[in-house]
Amino acid sequence: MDLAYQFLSRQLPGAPEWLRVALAGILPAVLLITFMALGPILYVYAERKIAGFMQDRLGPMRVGPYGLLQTIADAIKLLFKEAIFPRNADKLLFTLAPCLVVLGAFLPFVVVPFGDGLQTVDLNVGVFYVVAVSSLSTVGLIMAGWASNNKYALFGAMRSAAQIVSYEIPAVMTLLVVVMVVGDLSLRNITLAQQGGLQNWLLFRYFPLNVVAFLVFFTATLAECNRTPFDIPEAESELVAGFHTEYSGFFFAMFFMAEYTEMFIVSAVASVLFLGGWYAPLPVLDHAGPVPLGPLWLIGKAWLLVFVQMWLRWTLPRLRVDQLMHVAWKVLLPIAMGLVVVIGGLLTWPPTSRGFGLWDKTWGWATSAGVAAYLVYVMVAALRWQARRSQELAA
Amino acid sequence: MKQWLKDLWDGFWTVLVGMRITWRHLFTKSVTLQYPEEKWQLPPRSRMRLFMKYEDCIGCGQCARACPVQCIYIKAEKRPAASSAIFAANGQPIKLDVHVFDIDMSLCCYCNLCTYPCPTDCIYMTPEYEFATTDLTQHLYHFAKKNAKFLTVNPKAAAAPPKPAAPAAPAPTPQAPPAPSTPPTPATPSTPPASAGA
Repeated sequence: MDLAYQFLSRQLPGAPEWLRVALAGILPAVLLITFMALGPILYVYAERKIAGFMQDRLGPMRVGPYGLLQTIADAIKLLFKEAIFPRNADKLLFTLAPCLVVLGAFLPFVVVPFGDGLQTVDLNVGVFYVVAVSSLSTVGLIMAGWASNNKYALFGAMRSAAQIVSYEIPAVMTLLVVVMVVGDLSLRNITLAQQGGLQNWLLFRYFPLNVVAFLVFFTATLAECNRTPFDIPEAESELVAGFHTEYSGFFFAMFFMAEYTEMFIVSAVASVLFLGGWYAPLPVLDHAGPVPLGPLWLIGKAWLLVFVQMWLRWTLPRLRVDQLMHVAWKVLLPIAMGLVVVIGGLLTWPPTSRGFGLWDKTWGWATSAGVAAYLVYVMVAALRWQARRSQELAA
Repeated sequence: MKQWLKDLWDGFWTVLVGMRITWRHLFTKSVTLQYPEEKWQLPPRSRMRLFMKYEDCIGCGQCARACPVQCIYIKAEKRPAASSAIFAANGQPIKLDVHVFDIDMSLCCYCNLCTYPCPTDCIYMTPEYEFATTDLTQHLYHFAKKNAKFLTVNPKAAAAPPKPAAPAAPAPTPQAPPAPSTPPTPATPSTPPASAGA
């Protein structure tokens, strides 16, 4: 917003102050809403393609080249479909619920720093704000389940409430770890603390501990997005479609949009908190000449995490309700609390108040290189395996 | 506590194993066949649409009796003694005029039982499978055709001298139109249709 304001001050020096302020607010809002509204089209296409490839299928292939226009066609279909209100449904809540869910998914974008200065508002309570507004969608889900006048929808909503309330706790605890390490709640300051390449990312601070924190945070956000393996609120084999059973047309599209936007937003927040935000792994790659590449790096990291979420979705089966609660309360929560206690202790002890020093600088690097090498190895092995399998099929 | 840690590690590790498997399949060649563009190579002697070669049928009706779903309808009557002799491709004399030979492919169960009893091997299954229609009545195939060119010489008795052609009178009996997909008439020497006075 500040950047937009400066830009407008330069372009429209004669404009009144209120107009410049209003435009400086509207400009990023329009950009972000476009990005968020069109993003799901891409994510749904990617999801369907990835699902297809992982199941040795091709995915959508018919609409447009390689099925590229499939999700656009689906979106148009959903827009033109009639929105059906079930009998005895609470009309007001029924209409309000998808709006609230979308609101909860969209609001956290306000504080996501896409680059130095490319942030709508740099709230000094950024992390807290993200946690607070992303919980709004829970209210929307419960409203949807209640207003639908359908037992499956209500089951889905209750499960969703229980799940999100449970998983919010480990997620917030791991956020607390980051906040303690940086000493700031502002997402911009958290990113600035990770300046200077891979070895300064918070993922590699207190080396094995923050990696565990990242994994806990990632798992918990997966559950908050209602993604498989934690998708019991919309478990289609048990609850028809969970809380959005009764929704059709554009309202259904709104739930979908919210889900995919939420996937992106938690991935963006995770990459800001742990993966260096808008900074490149090597400081050289931060700028291409005079052009800062910050937004590309942040979106790229977020998309990588979104890909991992999709990868997990097509790998793991759905958890049972009691298993879900077991994971939240007996596994993630003790780990997260332990991390808070241990890292809090380390922070107060002067020799380790800035991380493990040399250990971080060496082992963080080594491990990331090892993981990257392993990924390359797996990729090569996969290609070799595929060649062998196609030979077998041909024989 | 030890068990808890073990479970934790097992859970984490098995997730990684599963992810490795799906990652592999991400790069595997897909098995999808883009149907109208690519088609499956059917094995030989696959049993799809039934076909009947009218010129070889002697009208014995054994196929209709063998059919478990009664989807073959035959009407035949004795050829008049005055008409010239006609033969099937394997040398069997055709003694009946087949007026109607209809197969309802919407009833057919593709069991292939009709082809075994046929003495002249004139009914058989083809590898043709794309015969979906919007109207079920179009699955009733009429194989009896007018102007069928029958063999007037016995192909097995090669020494027999060719007989003069019978007066060319169109066969009046088959009231059904020609079958939708009929192969070209047999390459063996044939004469204009034999008279088949009913």
